[in-house]
Amino acid sequence: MIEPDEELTPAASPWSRLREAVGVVLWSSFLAACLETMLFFAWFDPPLLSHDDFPPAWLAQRPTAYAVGFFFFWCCSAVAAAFTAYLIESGPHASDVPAKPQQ
Amino acid sequence: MNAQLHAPEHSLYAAQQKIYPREVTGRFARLRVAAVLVLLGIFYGLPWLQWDGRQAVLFDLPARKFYIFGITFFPQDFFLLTWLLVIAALSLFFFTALAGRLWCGYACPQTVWTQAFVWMERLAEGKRAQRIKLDKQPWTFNKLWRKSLKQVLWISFSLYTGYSFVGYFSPIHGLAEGITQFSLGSWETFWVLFYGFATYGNAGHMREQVCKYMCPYARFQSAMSDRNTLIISYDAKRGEPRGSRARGDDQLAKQGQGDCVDCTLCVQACPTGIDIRRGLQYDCIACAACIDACDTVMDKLGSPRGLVRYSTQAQLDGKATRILRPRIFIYAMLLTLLTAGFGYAVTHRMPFDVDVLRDRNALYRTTSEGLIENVYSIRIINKDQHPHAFQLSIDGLPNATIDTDVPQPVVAGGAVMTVVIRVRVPEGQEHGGRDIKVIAKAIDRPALHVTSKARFFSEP
Repeated sequence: MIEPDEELTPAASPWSRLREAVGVVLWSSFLAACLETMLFFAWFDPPLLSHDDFPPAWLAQRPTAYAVGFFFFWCCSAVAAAFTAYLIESGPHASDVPAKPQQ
Repeated sequence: MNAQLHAPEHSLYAAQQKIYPREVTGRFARLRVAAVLVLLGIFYGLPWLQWDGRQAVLFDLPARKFYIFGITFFPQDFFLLTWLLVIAALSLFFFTALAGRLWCGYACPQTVWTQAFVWMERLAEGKRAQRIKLDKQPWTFNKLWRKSLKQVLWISFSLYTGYSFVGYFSPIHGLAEGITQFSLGSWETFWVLFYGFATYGNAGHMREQVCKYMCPYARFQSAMSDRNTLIISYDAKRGEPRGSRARGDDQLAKQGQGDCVDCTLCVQACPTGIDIRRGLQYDCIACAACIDACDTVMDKLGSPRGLVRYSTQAQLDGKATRILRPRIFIYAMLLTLLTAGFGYAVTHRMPFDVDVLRDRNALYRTTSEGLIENVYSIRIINKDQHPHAFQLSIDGLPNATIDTDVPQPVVAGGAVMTVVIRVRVPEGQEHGGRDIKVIAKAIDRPALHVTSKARFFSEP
């Protein structure tokens, strides 16, 4: 027998604008951070970067440097992505109704 | 991967309506189950595979070496990874042009893990109708233990996923020991938790919302697909006008009613909550659950299957579908060329590499014998499986002599060795700086040599 459920799946209501923005910013910057981390550490070996006192010895260890580097890149990319999202969202759009000239 | 999104869910935003995908059985459901089992089997099984006495696939980041079966890769082979990513992107173009969003429906990690999480949810909370009822109930003991069981299953599975993921970067046997003896390194613990949390958030909570809001592929799929691309579609010509009817009832059909009985099972089965009868939508991840749902109904009604089916726009318009078309040929040709090139590059890779680092402390020094001396650290990388002895020499600097503690360094297979050399020329011969080349030649394979540029400094 075919018995449709008593109620339909409620149509998925969309994510709020803010939630979508947070998701997209974190996600796109995550992808960028992965790429940046790979590229950066493919060229630079953390122990070889260490020079005199900087970066400190604990940071020059590879597992720490990779992790700190990854989160550093993620933060920087997220700032850029959030800034972009904010400027696009809050800026004037071509479709906006032009303001009436002042008399 | 960014499960952090979940933290503010309840405080900042209005709660979102939940989707309860209905369970379906059928051809494509079986195919999807098979895909999930195979892919998850590979993911969880691969780190345990041994090869030549070590883990077969290990991206040993602390040692900066990637082991993939018999081959060892070094950071210097980075271009191969880039190449591989280009091949992967092109394959996605090729398969999308040919068969639509196969990737989304069957192979994307987001879909695969979501499936696994949905199964666990069903095990704990029951079928769709039971889950809707359960969520509406007040907190009874029944609800409490079912919800707790689901969380226990989800969290354990997520943690095991995190553990397996870290097992690709740190030997998995060592990790297992570390966990059982409570001696796991702090970064390893962190990444297990991080990846576990990301799995939990993405597959347990966000699910197809990731496809809708965060996946760029859904947005640019139109650039890859055309009228001959395989899509999942509802045959409106056959289905409309829709309306309910009983099995074997031909009266309504004679009056012009279509085959769709408006049972809405296709909508209930959809994990993204769309109605396929409204036509192709970018939310559709092509999981084919609606096809299975509709086929079941058509079977029961005694009507032919395929009211919702894999089809193409051309076919729906009553034209023939062209599989072999220019873009398919172009993608296939590029893909073949790139793959063949990649295979050649991997198998004919130069097995050695050499890096030169100048001594940072002094540009040059005058020895007691009146020679100008520059000091370099030479890193010799042997990507081969066997050890080799190397002979170092200098090109581009007349009368140069090399002084080193290890005249013929022997580098083990898959290893890196650093040798310090002191390059000397008579005083007064050179002024300022000069570009030189450091050459490393394998003694047993003189045809193969690698060079690296360096700079030699003397008094101005």
